[in-house]
Amino acid sequence: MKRFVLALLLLVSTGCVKYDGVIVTERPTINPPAAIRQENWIGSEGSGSCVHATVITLLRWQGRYKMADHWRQTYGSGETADDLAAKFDREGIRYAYTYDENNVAFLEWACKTRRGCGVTVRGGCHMIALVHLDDKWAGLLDDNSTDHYIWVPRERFLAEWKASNSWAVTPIYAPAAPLPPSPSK
Amino acid sequence: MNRFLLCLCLLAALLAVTITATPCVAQPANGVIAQERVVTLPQDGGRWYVSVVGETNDARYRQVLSWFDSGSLLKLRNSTHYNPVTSDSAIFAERYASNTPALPMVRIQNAEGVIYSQLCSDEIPMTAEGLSAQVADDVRSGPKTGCILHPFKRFQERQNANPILGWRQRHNCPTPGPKPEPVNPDPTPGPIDNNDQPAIDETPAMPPAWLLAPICMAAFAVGSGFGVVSTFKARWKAAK
Repeated sequence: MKRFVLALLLLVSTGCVKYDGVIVTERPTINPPAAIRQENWIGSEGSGSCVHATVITLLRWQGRYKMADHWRQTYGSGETADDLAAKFDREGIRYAYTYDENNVAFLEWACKTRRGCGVTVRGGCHMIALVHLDDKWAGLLDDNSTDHYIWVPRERFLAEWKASNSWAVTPIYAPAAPLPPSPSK
Repeated sequence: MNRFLLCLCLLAALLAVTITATPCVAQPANGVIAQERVVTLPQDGGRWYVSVVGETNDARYRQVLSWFDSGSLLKLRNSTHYNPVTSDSAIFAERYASNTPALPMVRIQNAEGVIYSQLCSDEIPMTAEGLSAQVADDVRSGPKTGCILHPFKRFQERQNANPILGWRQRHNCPTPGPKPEPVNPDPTPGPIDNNDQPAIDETPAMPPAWLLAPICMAAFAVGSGFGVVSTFKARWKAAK
């Protein structure tokens, strides 16, 4: 008994008891700090720049700060899927997108790999970031109000996305590392 | 007429060749060759993460970063999500500041965020090979949350126990040579693949355990031999 207590004391005193962390999956899965979320702005052509704002937030989340700054300086206004792809090509950005294919697997892939993606809503007039997608909920970050996430039931979100040309797009780089598990109480 | 028909046929053939020879890849945009639109999405949701955290102008941080540009640490970088993070960034403020004991820091996490290796400041070996071996050992020995989740306390304890170490860490040693360039915030991206396992250096830093016994025996034999010879010499001198 004494030996057991002694061993326990030694373990506790070294602070190296093998595993006392609690793995809590971060929610939303893609959780960009407020300071790197790009607000929408009016472009030189007088229209909003929601696609570009979303792309910039995703680039920053994936560690491409220099490219994000360059994008903010260079591009703006309304955007189409083809033109955005051409701009990605021109800038040498690694990316993937889906358009008008109702490809839900793409959204699941983007969230599972913690990259997130831009998704169209409101009949294709607006793009926001999809930051979480699970069996029940979709987490969204609207570039018109970046101070909070919007949570909507998964099926409702998917229905709106499909009715909005089902465009989804994301750069493909390394997402920010997950938070370490918190110590158990 | 015949010549005219021949010309027409040749023209038609030329047009057909031009159309069919158009490659089925993304076209150059504004004179720049298109890069890739990734068609096969990388299934890398289980990839591990490497974070190298430090102050932008810290020479030690820049040295550690440069180690990941070649050798076994480049292999590790390419097989994980590699995140260089500077202490003046928003990512650091929100996601690292509260759980980083000291800078620079190298942290290896699995896809769920569990820390397998975390080396800070003077814990980081002096060479890239040393760091590679240390990381490999740490990853092999499993997750370490007990020590690591209270790292700041541990770091302070170490500093208190060794005041010279604390003094050295508070003093910036002058670095010879020109002023370092600012860190490029956009690192070269690694290749896309679906392999989730980090490529750690499998070369063990120590000889395998089964080699220790013969090495010890050989050392014992050599030592005994020298002992016998020196004793014999001493006796021989004394006898002389």
